[in-house]
Amino acid sequence: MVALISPWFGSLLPGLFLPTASLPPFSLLTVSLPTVFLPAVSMPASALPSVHLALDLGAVLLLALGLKGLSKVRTARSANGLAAVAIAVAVAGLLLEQGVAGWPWMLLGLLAGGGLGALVAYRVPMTSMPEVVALFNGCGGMASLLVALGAAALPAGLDLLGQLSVLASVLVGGVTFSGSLVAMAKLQEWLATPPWMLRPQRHAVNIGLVLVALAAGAALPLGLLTPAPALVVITVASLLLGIGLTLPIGGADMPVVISLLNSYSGVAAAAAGFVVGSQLLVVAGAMVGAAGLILTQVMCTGMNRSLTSVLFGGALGAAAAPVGEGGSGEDPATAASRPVPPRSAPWPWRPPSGWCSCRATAWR
Amino acid sequence: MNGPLSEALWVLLLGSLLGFELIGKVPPTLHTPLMSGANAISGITLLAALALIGQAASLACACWAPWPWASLCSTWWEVSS
Repeated sequence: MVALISPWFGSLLPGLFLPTASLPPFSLLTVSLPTVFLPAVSMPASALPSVHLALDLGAVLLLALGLKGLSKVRTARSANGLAAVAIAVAVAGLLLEQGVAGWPWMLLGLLAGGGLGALVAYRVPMTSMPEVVALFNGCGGMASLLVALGAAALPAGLDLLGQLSVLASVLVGGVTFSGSLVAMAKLQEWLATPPWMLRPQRHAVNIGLVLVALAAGAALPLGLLTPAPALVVITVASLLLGIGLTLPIGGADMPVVISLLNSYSGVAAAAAGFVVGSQLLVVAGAMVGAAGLILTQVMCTGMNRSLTSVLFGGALGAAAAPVGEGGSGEDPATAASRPVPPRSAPWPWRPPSGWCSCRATAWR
Repeated sequence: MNGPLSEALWVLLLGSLLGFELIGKVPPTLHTPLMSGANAISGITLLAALALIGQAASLACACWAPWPWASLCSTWWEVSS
């Protein structure tokens, strides 16, 4: 029973929040192309292993080209469509190989997710794009989390590799999910950092949560715990860790944090690839993870702050803050995390990031 | 040691290198679209979910129905009879 329900969530959530790039046609393409291939699945699955492999390789090639094209202004638009086509090809390859057993669930998830994703992408104004990216990122993390839990819930047990990959996927997916939701709430100014979150003890609490998660994960293959309580402990610990890592960070630093969480969600996708044994997922997740890390570093140098001061500084380790705003009663972490102009910058200085219309970099 | 684990580790390493190399100088105007596009590509977790649905569906009985209440009814029927 559980095995039937959890894959439904696993498909519903990534389908529910198919992250859409800044061009709307992406999600529509990804939803429509696989459904075109559905009638073709009357072919016996075992006759087409080479087709699946060819489609997977083609998908990776197209993904790599698309990711490269996204870093150049001239080719960015077409690269977006290329990445969409690549994912559609990969989905078609998977469905051709394993058949469409359970297709009502798949269809429901894809339509609900693709529809919601397209709706949000069309309706949201560009100034709220960071929040939307954070939301979709969180749901990508939740998808990896649910895939790992669903794989653990299958009646066939997991071997050592499976257990370790489930642990990794749950951990990274949980941190990404809760961290991204906190990031979105901070950018929307629904949440401010509570003062008790800024004390240095939070580092000890975060490290403690990591240790608890790792201990529960180690207890699983050693047989000290049954899978269900161990997975519950790891899930809860990773969700709390995500909140604990992201809550102390100020609103102006959030774009950098979202980029880092973006990279984490790529790593979570790679971990999900380990869980189901798909090398395409491992490659794509590794590419996104590495690219996100580079982008995070680029954004940090643009803001003239180092990554460690962004992640762990909060209000304590910030660079020389601009004119003291002690009486303004605003979030202390946001005050400390404004981008600092370099010494030689002309006045008025604007932070050279791409978030020029983002509310989080408001100057007072 | 040429099992699936070592293959997957090779793939992970080379994929990370590919990701590092693909992203060169990114102009600031492309920070948001690149992040959004990378976010979209990480939606490839969809494939893992589809694979999982396929595994779960093939494990269940031949009369597996997509609706939770239908499978609930069938399990209740088997349990009660």
